[in-house]
Amino acid sequence: MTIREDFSTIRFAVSCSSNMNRSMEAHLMLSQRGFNVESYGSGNQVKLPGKSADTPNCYEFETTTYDFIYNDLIQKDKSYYTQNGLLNMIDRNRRIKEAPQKFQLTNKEFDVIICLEERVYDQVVDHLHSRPEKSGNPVHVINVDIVDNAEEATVGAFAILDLCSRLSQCDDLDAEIDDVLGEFEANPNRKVNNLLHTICFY
Amino acid sequence: MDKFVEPIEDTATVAERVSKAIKEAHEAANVDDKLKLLEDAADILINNDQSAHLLDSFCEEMLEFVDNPQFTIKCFVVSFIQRACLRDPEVTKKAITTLSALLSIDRQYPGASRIIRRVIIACTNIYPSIIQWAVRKKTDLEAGACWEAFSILKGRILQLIDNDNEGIRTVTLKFLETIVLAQSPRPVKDDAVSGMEMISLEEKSRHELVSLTDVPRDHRFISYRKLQIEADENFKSLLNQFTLMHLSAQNLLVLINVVCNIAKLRSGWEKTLERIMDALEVLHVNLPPTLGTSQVKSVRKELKFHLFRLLKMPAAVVIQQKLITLLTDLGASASEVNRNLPPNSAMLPKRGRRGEAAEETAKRARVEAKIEDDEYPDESAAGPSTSSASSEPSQLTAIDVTAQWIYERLNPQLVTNLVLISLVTFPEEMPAMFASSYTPIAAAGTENQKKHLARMMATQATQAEIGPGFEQMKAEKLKRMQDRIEARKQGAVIAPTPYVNRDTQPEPSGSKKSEAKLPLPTFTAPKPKQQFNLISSVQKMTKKEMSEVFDHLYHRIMGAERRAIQGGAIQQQNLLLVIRASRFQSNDEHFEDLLINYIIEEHKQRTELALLYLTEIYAQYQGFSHIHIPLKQLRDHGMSKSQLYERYDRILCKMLKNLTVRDLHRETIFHKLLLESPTVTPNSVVYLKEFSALGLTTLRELILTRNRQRLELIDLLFSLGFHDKPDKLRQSVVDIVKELWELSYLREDIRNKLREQIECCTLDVPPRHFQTLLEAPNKWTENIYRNALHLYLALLQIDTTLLMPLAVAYAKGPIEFKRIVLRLVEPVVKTIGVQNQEMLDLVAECPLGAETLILRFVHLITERNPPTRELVDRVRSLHATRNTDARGMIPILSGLDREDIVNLLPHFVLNSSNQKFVQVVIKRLLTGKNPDTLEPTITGEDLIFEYHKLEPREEEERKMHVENLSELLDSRHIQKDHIAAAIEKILELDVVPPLFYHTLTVVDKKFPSLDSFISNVVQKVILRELWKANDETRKAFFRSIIQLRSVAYAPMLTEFRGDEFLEFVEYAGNQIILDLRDFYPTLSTSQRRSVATEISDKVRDKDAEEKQRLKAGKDGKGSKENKEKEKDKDKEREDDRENQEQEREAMRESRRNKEQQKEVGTRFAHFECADLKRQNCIHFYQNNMFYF
Repeated sequence: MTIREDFSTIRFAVSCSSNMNRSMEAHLMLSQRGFNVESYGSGNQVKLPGKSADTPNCYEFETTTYDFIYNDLIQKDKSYYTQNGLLNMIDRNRRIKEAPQKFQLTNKEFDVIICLEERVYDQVVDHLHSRPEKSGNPVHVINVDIVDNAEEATVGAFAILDLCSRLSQCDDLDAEIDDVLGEFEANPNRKVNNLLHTICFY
Repeated sequence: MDKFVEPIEDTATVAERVSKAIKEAHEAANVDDKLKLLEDAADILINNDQSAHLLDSFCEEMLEFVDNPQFTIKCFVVSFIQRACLRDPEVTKKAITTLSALLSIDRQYPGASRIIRRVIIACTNIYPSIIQWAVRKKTDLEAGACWEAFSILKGRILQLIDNDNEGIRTVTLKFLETIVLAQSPRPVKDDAVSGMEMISLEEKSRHELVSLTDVPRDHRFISYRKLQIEADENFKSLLNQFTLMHLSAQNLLVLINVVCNIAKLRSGWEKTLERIMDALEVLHVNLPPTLGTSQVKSVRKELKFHLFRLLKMPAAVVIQQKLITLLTDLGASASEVNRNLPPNSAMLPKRGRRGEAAEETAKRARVEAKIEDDEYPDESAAGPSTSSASSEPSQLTAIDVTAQWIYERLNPQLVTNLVLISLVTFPEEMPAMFASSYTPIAAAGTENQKKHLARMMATQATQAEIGPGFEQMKAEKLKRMQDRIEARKQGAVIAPTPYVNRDTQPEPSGSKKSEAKLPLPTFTAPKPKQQFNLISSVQKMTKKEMSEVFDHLYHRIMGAERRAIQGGAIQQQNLLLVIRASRFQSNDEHFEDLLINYIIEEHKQRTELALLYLTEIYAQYQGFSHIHIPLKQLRDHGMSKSQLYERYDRILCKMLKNLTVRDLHRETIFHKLLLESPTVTPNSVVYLKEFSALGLTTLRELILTRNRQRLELIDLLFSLGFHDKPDKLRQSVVDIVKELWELSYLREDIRNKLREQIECCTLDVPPRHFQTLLEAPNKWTENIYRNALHLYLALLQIDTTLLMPLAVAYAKGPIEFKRIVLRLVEPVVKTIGVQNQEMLDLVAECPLGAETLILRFVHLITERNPPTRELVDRVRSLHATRNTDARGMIPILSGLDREDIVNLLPHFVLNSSNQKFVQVVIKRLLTGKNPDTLEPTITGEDLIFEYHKLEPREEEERKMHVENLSELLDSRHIQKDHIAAAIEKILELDVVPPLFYHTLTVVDKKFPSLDSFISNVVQKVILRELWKANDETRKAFFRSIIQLRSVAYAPMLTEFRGDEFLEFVEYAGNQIILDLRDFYPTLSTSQRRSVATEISDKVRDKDAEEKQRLKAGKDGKGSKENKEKEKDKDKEREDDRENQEQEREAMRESRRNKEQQKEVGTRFAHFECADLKRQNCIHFYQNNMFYF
């Protein structure tokens, strides 16, 4: 079955490493503003900080639901995870969608993929270059570094919202994106870290 | 609607579902609903139809939606075409036109660029499958046509590589990639196998679907060779893109991506890897200066990414060293490089020289190419593919040569100098590219680093077109260009060469070689380009430079016509040419001439351009468009409206003139200029004058279409009637004027013009347009009059309202004019009927002075048709009021009543100047039918009667009266009975005119059978003593007796009294006596008896009687008795005679008395005794019934 194409709106995807914090924050903010958006992680596993640095909580993408993780963490240490805000975040996530998704596993096509970390950008680009070209539709992959913590995620989400608003105001995205990114980067009110942009083809 | 259709559903049901969905989609008001329904239909057609024939049958219905104005629907159609073509390439046949149409969609349409992009993407996707399909359908003609169509489409897409829309360029680059991949040979197997591990993921993509290897050499419509050349040239043009300074970051990324893809998939083809490596090296040190920091970072990242991927390929060992150097420059660590080396690279050193494998591959490819070429020896002769393969490394050599040259000179002293000089020229800010690319040099001063540095400098030098290697490269470039032109000639579709903005004034190549020039400070390091700064980068140009640039530019735009057509941008090209030539004040005429000459050179193709140009100039004249004028000059240079009009006029005339000079006036453009330009100036129309037939047709069209200039144009048309050229033209003018006259909206104008023209004929001097070159100036000639009248009279035939103006002009005009008019009107007026109301009005309201013309008209129109009552009345009243010439009445004689005829008769009979009409008049009177009674108004009898009643006053008239009598009596229409009746009637007059006696002689000559009647008449005349009325009648009577001779002798002898006889003899002379003597014996005895004695004495030939008697005596033996008897008899006779004389006298008296009583019955009695045929009598009786 083919995926129905949408000719009128820009299809956004935001991707961080685990599809938990940064991408979900942006996902929420963008979807609340009516954007057509999906969120993904690009890492091998969903990794959440554990009680110590060397014992992260790892889950499988797609098959593990946010609900499951939520309950799992409650079971592990409810007060600890409540305190560091993790439960709160997962609770928000499970109200947005069912489970964390891995970018490399999706068949959907997007117009713009926003990566929130250079490593994620590399993975996404690598994935897009490695898959056989099918439809030939171009996709813009943009990187904006956001530090992986709750505050930065929120601040970063606003930056992403700004970027997406600018992009969606374009008459012709493919022709204007260079200029939009230039303006976005040059905005004195906000420092954009490590802006990267490339174009790939599905 | 749910998307799934059970596969077991039969075809009919599925078709029903599809048609239902399409129908609903047609009806759906909401775009989203429509789209949803269409998606469903498409889904069934493409994914759920097993047989694929549904797709074929519904395809066109789906394609129809492209006409929907909605952007999304159009996009959907493109997407549908893509999917459908992939499913079944047969669909391409139908879809190709839709794709073409969408590609040339109006740029004003919202989202046009996105639609174009989608079309290109769709083409990118379906192209490989189309090749595959076309290869299969060798014999299908339709497929051939489809392939041709797609080739054209391909060409148009490739033109978009220069499009100003970045997005379109992006997808065009991808399209180029597909072309190159699909039209180049697949690498040989073991290479592919070795590369398979790396590119295993690509194997399913469209790039793997088809390659040049799959195309048979002997294909009917696909030229293997053309595809090969196309791929090669397009690959070169891709590489050339790298040199573009204005390339955006986005497209640079795409370009890297595309080129590296090609490198991966076609590693063994035409030294791809080396060429790409070379291009990437150049790119690395020459990133476009317009890139921002993050863009430079992105590009370098992308470059690094792709280089790593290339590095992984076993086939890339040839360029491994260069890859590693470049990667190191890009900031890759040694461990990263090592990690990405191909797994078997460790084996390579064992095999001896590095790159052996690759060389082998290359060798194999060459051998293969050679074998292939051997099969086609004719192609190998100048095969660009092989030559280009060998030529490509020459650029490499160029850099190598320069690198070696620099390397030899890199000593510490020179380097120090270079550094010192470059310190001065450093920019204020560190350029973004330098910042991101700078890495501390780890192995400074080593041989390797020196070589690398020399190479980097050499790259820059070659880019800047200097250095010993450059010459080589230049020659090579020239060759490449020739190859390209050659390839184009063979029909290959190649993306246009990017325009590289180099220094405007390349120095002569000879001076480049001087050593002093080379060690320029700018070569010291791979110095990053400065960030673009508009203010510092631009320099004010001098006016001369500016105009030169404009000039060059203009020529260049003009030269790009073919490309513009290919790319569907001909309108823009035309627009540019027109705007430059028309909207800038300075140098106006120069560009004007350029453009006009340009148009005329290829006038067939450039008619639209010409019209566009004129329209623009006209728009400026009307103020819809403006001429750009610098503000400070505004006051001086603003053109007034009249100047603008003059300019329009000048340009239009110039075009027409140039066409005329080149003898191109028969071409369409000449006529289109006049027909379709916004307005036609009087000066321009004159050009039409030169060329007869064709020009006239155009002029006619102009008159029909150019409302506002109609009068001028009609003037022109009319003036053509005075042209010196042969009559054929004049006739054409007449035909056209007639044709135009038929149109009601033109009729009045034509009429007015005709009236004006005829009025002009009365002027003293002919108007300017009447005069031809051959005639003496300002003088009327017959020719001019004829020309003026020719057209007028031709129209007169169909438009009789023109009669009156003609008559008015005639009245006023000079004699010469009148003469010509009278001569020329004949054939025309004849065709006008007697019934014509205008003609009647004209006769009724005849302008003073035009009577002759009117009468001529009347004459002409009645020549064939009898005059009508209306006409007769009008002519008669005209005659009455204007006292016109009696001749004018001839045509209507038959319509006049008897009284008029009688009044008219003397005007002809007794008028010396009208003598030649007498016959006509008589004929008309006798044959013409009265419009009321349909019988002649006057019978022959009456006419004769009336004729005799005429009273000539002078001798001359009398003579004519007599002479014309024979005209009357000779007429075919006068019968004996007419004459007889007329004579009877005349006899009844109180005074019988002297002519009457002459008549008798004439009648006698003409109708000898009437002799007894005439002698009767004579007898009557004598008995009634009519001849005695006056002296004249006496003489006339005597004359007639003399002439009638024997016919009159009898009554004369018998009825004349002695004194009368003496009078006669006195008049006639004694000669008559002899005559009478001869006659006397013929009288019967009874007649003799009635002869008066005096007369008989005179006329008796006594000698003869004596002789007779003697003769009789001899016969009777001459006896005495006989003689005595004779004597007795004589005596008796003598007595008898005396008695008889008395009797006779008494009888004569009584007859005379009787005659004088004029009894009606006598008429008939005479006829009884006359020797007339019985039939005639009856006829006469019938005709004269009314007398009884």
